[in-house]
Amino acid sequence: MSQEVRTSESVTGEAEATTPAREEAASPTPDLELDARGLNCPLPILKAKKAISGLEKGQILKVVATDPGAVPDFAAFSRRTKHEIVEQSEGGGEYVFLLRKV
Amino acid sequence: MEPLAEHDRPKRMALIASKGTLDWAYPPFILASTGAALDMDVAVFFTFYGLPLLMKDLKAKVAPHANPAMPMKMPFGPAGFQNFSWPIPNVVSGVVPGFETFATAMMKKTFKKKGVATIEELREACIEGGARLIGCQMTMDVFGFAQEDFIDGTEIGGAATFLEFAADADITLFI
Repeated sequence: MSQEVRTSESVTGEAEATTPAREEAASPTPDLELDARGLNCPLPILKAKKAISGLEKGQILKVVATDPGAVPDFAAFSRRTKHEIVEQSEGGGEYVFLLRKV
Repeated sequence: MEPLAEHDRPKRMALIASKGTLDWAYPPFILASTGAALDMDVAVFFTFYGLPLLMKDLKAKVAPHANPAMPMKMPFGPAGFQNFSWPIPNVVSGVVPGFETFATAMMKKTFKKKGVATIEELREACIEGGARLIGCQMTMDVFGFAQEDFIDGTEIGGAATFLEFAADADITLFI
């Protein structure tokens, strides 16, 4: 069992994928991206709903928004619809959400 | 199949849209489209002045006259100019021809600049999301509207149609 000496990104021992400088361990790759920048309430939510409807269960939707109201609204959207916010960040006036379809 | 337990059934929202100005058109359509996006069962009953909001040719205007809470701002020019709220006396807003048309154009321009959806977009989102849009039969008769005046997807009904749905609603709002 050589697993113990492995770094966290290759614990599974599966074929090493690409070799870009280590990605943050947990950040999933989006299957679809939604640019909701410049849109105001409730458009980011409406467009996210539409986009996520086209995905398969478990797939990831990335949403980029500039509306500060998107932060509480996506939290509420996630609680009600059960689509999970797996990652969330903000910077430069942009709010990024990674949603996993339930 | 087992009947759904109370906590498993979708939340239900029943709205009445009774006002037909551009500003008052927003709340029912925003709530209905967002409710549908949150997996709620939604129905909106459009009655009296709210009914024209379902017309194919949407003509909703904003009425600044006798509406002192409405900020009158210009959607162009430097920030200080844009943020200035113009004091328009009722005697002006009520007498100047085309004042509503002007104010409506300004509001639409501001909304577009701020990334706010148009009423048409929100209506579309309601239909796509499966919200029921119910036009009031009695209002149709009184105002002389016909079913073909309304957007596709409009359902026609009366108070009983709305109340049957609203009886099991978790949220009911009169707007």
